Amino acid sequence: MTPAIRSRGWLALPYLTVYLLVFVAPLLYFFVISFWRVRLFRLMPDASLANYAKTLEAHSVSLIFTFEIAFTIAVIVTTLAFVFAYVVRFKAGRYGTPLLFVVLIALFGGYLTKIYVWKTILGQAGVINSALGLLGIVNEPITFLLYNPVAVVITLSHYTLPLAILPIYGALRSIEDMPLRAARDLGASRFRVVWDVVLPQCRVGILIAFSLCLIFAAGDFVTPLLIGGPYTSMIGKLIQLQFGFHGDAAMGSAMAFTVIGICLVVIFMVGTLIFTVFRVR
Amino acid sequence: MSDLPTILLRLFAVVIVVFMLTPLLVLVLFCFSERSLVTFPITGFTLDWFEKLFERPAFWDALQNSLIVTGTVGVVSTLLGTSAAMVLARIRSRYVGPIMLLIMLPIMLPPLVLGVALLTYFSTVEVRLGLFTVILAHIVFTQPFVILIVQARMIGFDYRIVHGARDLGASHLKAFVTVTFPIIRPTIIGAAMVAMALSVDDFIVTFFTIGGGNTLPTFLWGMLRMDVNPTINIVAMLIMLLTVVVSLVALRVTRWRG
Amino acid sequence: MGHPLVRLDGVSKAYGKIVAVHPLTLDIFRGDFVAVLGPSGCGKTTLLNMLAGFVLPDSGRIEIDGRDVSHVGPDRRPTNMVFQGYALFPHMTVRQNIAYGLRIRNYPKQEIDERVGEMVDLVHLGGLERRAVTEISGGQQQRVALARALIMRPDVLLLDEPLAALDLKLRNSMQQELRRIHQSIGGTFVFVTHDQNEAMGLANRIAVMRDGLLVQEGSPEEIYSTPRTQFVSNFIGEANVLPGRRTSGVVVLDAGTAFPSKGSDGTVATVVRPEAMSLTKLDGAPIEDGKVVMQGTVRDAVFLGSRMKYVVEVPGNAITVYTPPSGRSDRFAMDNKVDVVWNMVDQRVLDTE
Repeated sequence: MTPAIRSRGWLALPYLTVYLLVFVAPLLYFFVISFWRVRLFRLMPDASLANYAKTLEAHSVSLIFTFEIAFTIAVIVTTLAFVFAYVVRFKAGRYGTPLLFVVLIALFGGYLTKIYVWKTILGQAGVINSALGLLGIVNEPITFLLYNPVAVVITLSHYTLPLAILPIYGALRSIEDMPLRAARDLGASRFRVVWDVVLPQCRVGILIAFSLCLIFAAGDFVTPLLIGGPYTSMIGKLIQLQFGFHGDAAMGSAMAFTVIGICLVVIFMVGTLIFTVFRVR
Repeated sequence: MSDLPTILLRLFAVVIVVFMLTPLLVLVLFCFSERSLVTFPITGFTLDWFEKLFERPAFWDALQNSLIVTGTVGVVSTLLGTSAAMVLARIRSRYVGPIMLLIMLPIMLPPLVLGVALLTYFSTVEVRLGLFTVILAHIVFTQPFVILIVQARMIGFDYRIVHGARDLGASHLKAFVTVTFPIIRPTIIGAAMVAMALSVDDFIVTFFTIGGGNTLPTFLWGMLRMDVNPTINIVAMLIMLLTVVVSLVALRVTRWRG
Repeated sequence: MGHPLVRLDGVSKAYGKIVAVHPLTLDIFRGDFVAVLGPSGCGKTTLLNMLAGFVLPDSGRIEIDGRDVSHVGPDRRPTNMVFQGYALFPHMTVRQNIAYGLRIRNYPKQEIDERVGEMVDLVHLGGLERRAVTEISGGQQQRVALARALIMRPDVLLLDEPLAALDLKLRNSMQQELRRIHQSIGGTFVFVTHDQNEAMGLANRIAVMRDGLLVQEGSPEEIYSTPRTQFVSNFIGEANVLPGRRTSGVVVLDAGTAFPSKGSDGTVATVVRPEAMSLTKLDGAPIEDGKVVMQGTVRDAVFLGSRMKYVVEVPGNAITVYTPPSGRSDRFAMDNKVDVVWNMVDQRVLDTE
């Protein structure tokens, strides 16, 4: 509004340069090549949907499986995150801050580290088995802990939980106490208050949490590789192979954008659901 | 006293805390275990595995690379992000939402997609993969956090203070250096720390953009695929320690803001 | 009067389609204490910001001490401002705040110390120099803001609603302070306010603004006793505005009285201050020359300590009358018929078309 602080837009130029050159351009190029072909390990310009057709055809099982797992994780984690955030905001009193602190610690702590730790915890000679054996509960190690979808769900839930708690807590923090008391005073049960007053006010936070979990779980390749075992064929693993073993970037791109597309559809549907169910009456 | 539902809810919170923290504590515990397997019972404690790890030059290379990447990303990302946030803070509020969405795009993609997209792009425009490309990639996905944090701080900022400095003879730059920066310094340091924590922890994007060489996470990845060796624990713990310590510093200096 | 220190010549400013200040011309002389008075949104703050250099005018010319500063930034103008809410630097002590302007111009430390000392004495902040500005009271913050600006020895000190953030008691003592400081340094002060009491209490010249226009400018006495428009009369103190019509030199008020008044035919508004009116019972006695009488009915009578406030209903209007306090017995009771009397010299007849 004034020359003293009038939008000196050039300040944003370095950022914009990096954003355009190292994010927008690569992503656009990556999108474009999903319509190209690879011949003799070289990308050839083309305009065909063949890669997408092949993705849906050859990897449909993997895609469905991936989204079953990702959806499960997103639903479980979002639910747990909401309840936890609710406790931190309304029920923990002076313990709220330390609880939030724990979340922030857990938010970091290493991505690969966490996956590795779960591998050692769930493994045949791992922490759970050796502890159980030591206590005389089992004689033979239980093998069903690792290398299966459940292990993937546990590991990824552990990783995404702090990520999901923060946006929901952020939304809950801006809810004021007085309207909740008013609702109670007007005869609403505890549950009704949550359903009618709290949830409608943190719909966006919940949707953000859900989206983060879904996108992350659907796109991960390290967890299925290290934890899921050979039969957990999630799409991330296959995409990654296109850039190493198979060397077909065009195919990999089509697969990646298929995953993103499905994510967007799921998020749109879940968002619509959330906004209808928890509408402000 | 509290009623039953409240008690149950609190119990639930405790269970979640245990779920979130136990794996990390387990890891620390086994770093010092004498046996070469990650199993109970722990028969004794030792620092041997640390020695074994520190003997490997590859570890020191990875650590050095990690520090170079993280340090550079911390400085550059904070500089670019802060200056962008300053501009953003002056934009009319109804445009901020959509712009924010664009800014957040890099972290709304699965890291895998960002990684392979950059890999494809870098090899097409023939940029040699290496620490430079890793740093560029890290700047891209740490930037949104820096901007988000600094912009949130600027929302409540009283620009009259800057006017005050200008009125007393300070140039734009001088006013920023003597007034704006000292006031928001904790926020900027916090944002830098968050960027560094994310950078030092990143495996997926680094994996695709580094070409040869290692940072700590890709070094850990190599170990995970090759050895069964308790020194893995220590590398894993180091990564954890670095991110946690850096983020604790961030929390401390920003005093819980944002 | 000599040459004006500040000369605004046809200065205007618009934000998009909204005109904040229409071309405006105003002279300010050395030693003046000028109040720019008007309701919120009248453009007074934009005017002040143009003087300070935060807002550059779209047209016109701003001269300070003979120098054209129209396009000079705030950091290179011989003006300094006391901001609304003070805008103190929260990360600095009282002393650091006051010394800031000299420090960034690299004055020698000894001179800074000396001048800070002078300022601390002038605004009575002794003993607080090392305190953080966040832990002193609102009144003290006000003094720091004043000292921080005055240490630059500005040609013109600008103050944006300087007393608005203070409570009533502090406001009164701060008014005295400002007058004392103005006199002791002999500077030129310009302040904007929406509070007419503040303007009356501080300024030797008042500029009334409305909708981006300078409506009237003059001494407080002039503005109060001879308001040029109905808006000014209403804005500066209370006023009874009586609509009427002038036909061939005689004004007939709607409330039912008439008096001679020169001017063209048309609708007029007659403005009379409440304290210029008095209440009597004439009971048919003849009126003196040069006075106007109007009949009405007492609708409200309030004892206000130093005076009585009456609300009198006259045909088509309700007027306010202040009279000296009187004993209980000689007050006019509710619903009594009374005569409202004032001197014709105390009224202003304004053409309303």
